[in-house]
Amino acid sequence: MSGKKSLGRFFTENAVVIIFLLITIAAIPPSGFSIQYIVQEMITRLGRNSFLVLALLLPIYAGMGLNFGMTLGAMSGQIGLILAINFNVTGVEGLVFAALVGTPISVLMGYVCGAVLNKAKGREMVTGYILAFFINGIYQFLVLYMMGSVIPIRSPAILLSRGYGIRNTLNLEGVRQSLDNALLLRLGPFTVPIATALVIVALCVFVVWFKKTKLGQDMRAVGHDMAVAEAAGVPVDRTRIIAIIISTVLACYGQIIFLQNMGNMATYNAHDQTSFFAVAAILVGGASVKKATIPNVFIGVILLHVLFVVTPRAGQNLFGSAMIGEYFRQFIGYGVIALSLVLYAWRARKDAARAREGLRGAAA
Amino acid sequence: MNGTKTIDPKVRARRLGIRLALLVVYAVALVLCFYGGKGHAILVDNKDAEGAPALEGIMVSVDGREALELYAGDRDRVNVKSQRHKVRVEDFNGTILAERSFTVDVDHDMVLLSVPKLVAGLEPFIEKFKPLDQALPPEEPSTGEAFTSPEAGAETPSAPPAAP
Amino acid sequence: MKKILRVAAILAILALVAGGNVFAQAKAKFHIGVVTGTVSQSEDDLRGAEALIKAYGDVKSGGMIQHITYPDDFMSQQETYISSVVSLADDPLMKAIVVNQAIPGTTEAFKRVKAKRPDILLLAGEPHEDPLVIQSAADLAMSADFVSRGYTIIWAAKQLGAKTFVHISFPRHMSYESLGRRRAIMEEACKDLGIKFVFETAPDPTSDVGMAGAQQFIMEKTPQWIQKYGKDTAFFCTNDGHTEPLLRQLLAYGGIFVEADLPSPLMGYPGALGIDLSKEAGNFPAILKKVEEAVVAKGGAGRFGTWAFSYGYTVTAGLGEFAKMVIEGKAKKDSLKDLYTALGKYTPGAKWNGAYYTDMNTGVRAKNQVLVYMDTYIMGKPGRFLPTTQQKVPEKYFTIKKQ
Repeated sequence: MSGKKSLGRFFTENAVVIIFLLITIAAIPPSGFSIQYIVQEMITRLGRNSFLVLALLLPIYAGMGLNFGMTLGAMSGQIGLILAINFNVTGVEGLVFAALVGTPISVLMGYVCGAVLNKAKGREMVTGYILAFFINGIYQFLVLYMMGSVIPIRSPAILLSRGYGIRNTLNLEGVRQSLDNALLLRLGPFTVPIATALVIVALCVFVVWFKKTKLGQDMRAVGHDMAVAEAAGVPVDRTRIIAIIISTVLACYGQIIFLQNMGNMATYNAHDQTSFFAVAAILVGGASVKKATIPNVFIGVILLHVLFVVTPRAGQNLFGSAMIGEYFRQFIGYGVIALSLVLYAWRARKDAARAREGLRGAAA
Repeated sequence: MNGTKTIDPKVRARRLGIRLALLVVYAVALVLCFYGGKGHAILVDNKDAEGAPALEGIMVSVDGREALELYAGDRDRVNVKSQRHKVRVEDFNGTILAERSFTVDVDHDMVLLSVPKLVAGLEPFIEKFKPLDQALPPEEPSTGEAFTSPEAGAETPSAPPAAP
Repeated sequence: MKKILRVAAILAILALVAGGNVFAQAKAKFHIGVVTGTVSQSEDDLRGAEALIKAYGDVKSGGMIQHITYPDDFMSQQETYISSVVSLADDPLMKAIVVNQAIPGTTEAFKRVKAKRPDILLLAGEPHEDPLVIQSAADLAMSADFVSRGYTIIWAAKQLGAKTFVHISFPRHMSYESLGRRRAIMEEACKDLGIKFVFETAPDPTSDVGMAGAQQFIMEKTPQWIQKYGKDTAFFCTNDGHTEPLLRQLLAYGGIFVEADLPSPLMGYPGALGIDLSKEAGNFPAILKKVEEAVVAKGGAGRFGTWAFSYGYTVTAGLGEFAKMVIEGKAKKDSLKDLYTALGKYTPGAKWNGAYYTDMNTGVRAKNQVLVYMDTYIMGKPGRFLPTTQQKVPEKYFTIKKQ
């Protein structure tokens, strides 16, 4: 009896991951891709996306939900990259240069974002989402009109020929995959970008360590109950702002890692989907708006991206039309994400019911 | 926030010191990356230069990379990072004609390295590359393979539009 | 939970069975990958791919063509796009990839394919990336001649009696070197030919308003524009999605339309006129006739133009044909003549004109990018061709820079 109960509990707790896993596995054979291709693609995408998804962790600890404001950090990273390309700083140094340029911008952006979110407690996610649209407007103005006219740009290759504004697509030739190729490990048919992996591991270690510091403990306290934390002498607003700043700076680095792997950058759109995909990945990995762990990140990145790789072709082969393949991906991908949000609500109710039951049991 | 009032001046001074140090580290890192990562294109040129005729057949290697095979009148391109580099010139028998290290000005994205001058020992064998495209040639001829020379385009800048 | 599991298991088995069937019967000696937009983004490109499938068969039923599409919001989904192009190279029989339109990210996708499979022929139709960028990766890129057409479209508008020329676009498109430069050329040509040039901004369909919002905007704004500038106004929009609502309103309220950014009788007209062309699919003379009848019936005779064959359709199908000819050794990949032969298969009797792309700064002629254009057909009773390909475009337009 109790064994059955705990099995049921395992399913309720991991329902999203399990459903996603089943759909993904079902979609692999009709896609017709070789396992080797899928595994290599996953290695690449883990290196490319994990850092961005990890950037979401701290605000969740601090009870601020999923940080849609991470787009601000992504934009800062892009400004850093634009300048690195402008000065023709190449290789890993170019990436570090971009990160260094992006850091103060993302700290400032994170501060602004955190301050705004403090004014909208309880509605952080939608506020962050809209804030990103607002800053996107400023970013476009800066890049399309200020660069080249107010901010000097010396490289004609990235400047529109009218004399100001950055081109629509930037070729990141100088820094292209420089981090990935800095240390490549060949494992049979697979290539593993060790340097990128090390950076990601370092970030994981940082997150684990950070949770143990005084500030990390404060964040947990704030995330648990703001009023109690305030009463205990934790500076709530300040802690929340710090959580967002760290997340924004990490998103800035994450975007740089993402783009160096991509090799080119859609100047005006590269950040559009950054937060959305990162949030989707962490949800698919079994995290919730209130609780997330490092394994959630990696499971989520793998599941979401396998799905994104295989469903278009699977849909196409099952239904016999290329277009349906593309719609199939969107339909399955976003459908499951919506399902995951519903399941969380359902699970939260279930948990509450169980807690009530427990209380009743104790009382009796 | 309430903690700040009771901060000991010593702690405050130390904090300020640490922050200043961080700022310095930041600036140093930025400068190091800038200089260390700055890319330059070196055009390795084997054309007649003043006082030094082009060499017949040579192998030029920059920073010990795979050698470029250059005949008289050839020009090739090497992309390098940072400013100090070594160049070695050999003939086809492997005899070393010249081996020098040189620095590129940070500000020059593209420099011209004249091998004949280098071998002849003339200075400066390296100079900033001036692009050829100052006068804009017309482009995309409207029909087939037609091609107008740059001068023709430059001299008649405002051809009358075709009558409708 | 159990029920869900059971359903999922059944699904998985079904998928396995279906997958087994699908891949048991590859017969063609080689495969050609074709990448296009979806119906909502660029229908003609997609129909071109379908024509290829009709001619040479689908890979999954033993044929030659593997067709995939890119997302509608491709600007923010480059990761998806790039990996789906690269996934084509996973097929060992893949010998060529044709992308039309070659949206941003194509160069990177091509570089990745080249790194993995240097033997694959890479062809790009209508590249959105800068010429020098796409040339670094593609074996051949082909675009509509944005320089010559900057002049010829204005010339044609004048022939149709336009006094004002309205150019509808938005910042993302204007940040493209080709589109931005064509706008500058049009402005200059308007000045020279005595037409008033007006620039109007409309929302970008790939932005947050989406395709529906952008089309709604055009629906609402066009009557106001006609009122403001008069009926003798030629309209031109750079976005394919804007074309249909624009045409619909122009037919209702008056106005002139020379040709679309990527001209075709299918571009905007069927939707704007509400005609069903399913019977004529792929038969362009018949399509043109039907569209023409509908335009004349709406009183648009002599004021609406197009290319007689769809540009997007021809580029997809023609490049696919060209790829097949090159793989079979019947054509050389750098021969303009062979390319025209391949294109001509899908445009019997039409006049093409074009040239290799020449870089503005160095004067170097790129052997792997061609610019092409066709005569404009003006619908009416009877319809007529404007001799656009015979116009000598004045030299000065070739040096106009984007503003």
